[in-house]
Amino acid sequence: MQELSQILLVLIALFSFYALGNSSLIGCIKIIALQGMCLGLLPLIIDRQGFGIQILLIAAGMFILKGVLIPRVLSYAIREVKIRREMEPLIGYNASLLIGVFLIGISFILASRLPLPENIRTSLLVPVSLSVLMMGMLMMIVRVKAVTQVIGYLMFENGIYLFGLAISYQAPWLIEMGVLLDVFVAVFIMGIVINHIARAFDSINTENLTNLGD
Amino acid sequence: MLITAILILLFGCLLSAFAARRPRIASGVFLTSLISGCLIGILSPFIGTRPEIVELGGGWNIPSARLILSLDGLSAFFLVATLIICLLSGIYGETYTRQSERLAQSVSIRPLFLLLTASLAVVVCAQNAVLFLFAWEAMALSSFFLVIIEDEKKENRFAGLLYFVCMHISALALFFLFSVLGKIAGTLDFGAIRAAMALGDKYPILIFSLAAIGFGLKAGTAPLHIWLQEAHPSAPSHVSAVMSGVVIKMGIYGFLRLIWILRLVPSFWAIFFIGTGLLSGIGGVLLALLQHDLKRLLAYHSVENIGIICLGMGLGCLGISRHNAALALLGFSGALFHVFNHSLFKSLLFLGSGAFYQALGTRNIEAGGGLLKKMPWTSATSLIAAAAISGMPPLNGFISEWLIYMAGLKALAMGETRLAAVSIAGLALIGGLALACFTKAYGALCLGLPRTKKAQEARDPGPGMIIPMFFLAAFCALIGLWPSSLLSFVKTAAMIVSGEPLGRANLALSGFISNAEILGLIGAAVLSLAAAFSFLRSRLISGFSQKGATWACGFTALGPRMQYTASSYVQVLMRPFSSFMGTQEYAHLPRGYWPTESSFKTNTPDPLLDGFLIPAVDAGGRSLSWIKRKRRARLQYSLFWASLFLLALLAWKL
Repeated sequence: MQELSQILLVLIALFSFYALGNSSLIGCIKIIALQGMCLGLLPLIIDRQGFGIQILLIAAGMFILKGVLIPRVLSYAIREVKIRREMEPLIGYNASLLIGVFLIGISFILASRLPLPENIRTSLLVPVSLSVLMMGMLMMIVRVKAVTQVIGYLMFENGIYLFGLAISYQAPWLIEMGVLLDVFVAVFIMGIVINHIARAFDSINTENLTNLGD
Repeated sequence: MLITAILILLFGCLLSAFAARRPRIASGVFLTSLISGCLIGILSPFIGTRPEIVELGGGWNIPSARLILSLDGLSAFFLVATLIICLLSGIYGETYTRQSERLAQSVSIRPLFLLLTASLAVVVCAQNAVLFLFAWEAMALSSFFLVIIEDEKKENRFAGLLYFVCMHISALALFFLFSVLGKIAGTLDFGAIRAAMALGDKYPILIFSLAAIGFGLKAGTAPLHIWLQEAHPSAPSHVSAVMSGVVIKMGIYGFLRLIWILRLVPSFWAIFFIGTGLLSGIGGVLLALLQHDLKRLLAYHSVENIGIICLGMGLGCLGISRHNAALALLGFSGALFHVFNHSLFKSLLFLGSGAFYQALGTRNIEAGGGLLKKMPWTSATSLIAAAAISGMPPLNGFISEWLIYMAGLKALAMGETRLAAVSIAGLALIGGLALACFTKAYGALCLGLPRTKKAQEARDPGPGMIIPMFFLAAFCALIGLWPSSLLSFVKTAAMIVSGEPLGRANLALSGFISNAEILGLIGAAVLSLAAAFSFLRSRLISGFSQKGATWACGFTALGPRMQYTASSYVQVLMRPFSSFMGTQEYAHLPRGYWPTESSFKTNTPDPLLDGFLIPAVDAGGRSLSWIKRKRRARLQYSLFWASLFLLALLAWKL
């Protein structure tokens, strides 16, 4: 089980990496769906004591919400606005991949120095969670399309979820529910906002919002 | 029992939210769950085996959070006060909502009211800091949404925003407060913190200042009252009744619970409470005197009454810090008694103001006049409330103020001359000014001749609104005439706050309880004598008497414009205070021998909020405008700087 969870974690980190270097919006959404599915499976195989009904429920909820429902909403949103590619990122794809490598390095250093409880379940969990978190943040910073912002935000949330998994033993109900609700509402709202931005400006560049000012 | 009540309320909240589009079902669900939930909750301290502490099974997966509710004397006291007010205001509110065109369209008012009631019940019973804060936030948010329910008006949105900001500062202070307490005690259960507190008194100033901000903002003690006069007028009347009657009392409950937890408070608590009590009391009543908006006036009276309660608490704290059990018990009893009384008569006044508002279409008291004849029930119940809040003898307000006077005299006898003297003198001044203020408001609204067309056509509202007001007025009179009914309940609560055993409490308070009984009896005797005389008079003069216009004194061509207005009534009284009240006058005086048009208007802004805070915030915003100009209003840059800052913080701490 240990190895399997390590492999899943590496996959999760690689998915983030892939999304960072991909210009196709559909591709990004598919990647984030895969990442969400991996996250949903993770609590099942990471727990050595076997799994109770509570964990099963949470895993199923995560899987459906992050792996199926949210990507559906997103792909619906971009189908409506007919955008396929992120054309003009603030930082190019190769450069952001390089920064991503750098961030993974930083997160390994940070993870080794963070004062964490002794019995973390697998050694990769904390560094991967930090790097997913940072890459999500990077994605939000360097991309200008509203859809990619949402994807960055989702990635960021995935990192938070992983970190929560690292420090809490039985997946705590209330926190999970809070996070899920938060993400779902956020994506829902962003889906609507994307549509409205598109209708108002004929594009989903958040650049256009800059002109509104105050 | 208690848990059943809370669950009924929450379940009703959900159901009425689902049924919100069908007002008839929603209102049925609302009334059923409100009445059953509140009645079960009110009865829960009295019947059945009464466990001190109920712990819910299942647990809560947040670190050091436990679902513990207790029904000790203090919780039971506040629970009963809360639920009585919520029950009666809710029943009133149902009719009020249906009659108001705007509120009838609102889908959220019923579920939010039930949520507010349930969260108030949890706040007063919670025995764990996390549960307490959870309920505290639920209470703040549900009341916030109730304040902005008529959000199309600009002033309501402003009031809501102000309330929201104040409540968040309060919650933040409380988070810090409980983390400090938790750090000292190593647990977040109130009982366990109390047990650990006996070891020693650490960080007294930190704990005190956090509590003063957190609970003081909620209670509206004087320098922190800024949200009250904006939020109360904005909310629908029955919500204002709950907010003024109960929600601000949660700040008082918090102070008392904290005193219970700390067991021993340093003497500067007493000085603070007496100081803030005087400031709130005198400042509140002076500002109330200058208001024309009925609900704004009542909101300032809430500040004043919180001041009176603070005076009682201050004397109680003085007793604790000087190890004088009798003074502690007397001070806290006075404060608690006034909490109960104020929740009764203030919510009654707000309910009355709602009826006047619906009849007149404005909250300006100058638009009324002569309503005693047009709306006899509303006016009569409001008269009882106004007399009670001014501390008139046979009613309940007198008994609690009397207890606080007694506490002051006790402190005087103990040798605490300065604190005792200022609290007695301050209380007397507050009482006198409050009486002036209510004669003004009541006189302008209910006496004399109708000033507007609407006032001439005003009618009493239906029984759904009159009956709850009648019950509240009856409670006011009952407690005034038979104070020992409430006093035993108050005694238990005061005993818990001051940490004295029952025997000593009985000994210390027995004299005052029997004196209060005598006061009630005298009141009853005076009332029955007066009733007998007036009956006799009406029998004797029947057939001889003749009725003329009000205040006509034989003059026939009397017009409504010949009456005193509310502001002219208080002008003489307010002249000595005019230099620091900041009243703005807009006068267009009549000139020449044949004056044509003239007008006179006054407006008294809140000295702290409008006089200082808003200008200061505006100035701050202007002085930072160069940053605003420099900033590229692009989301990505802000994100970049935020994440860079966070990374730097993380790197610095490691």
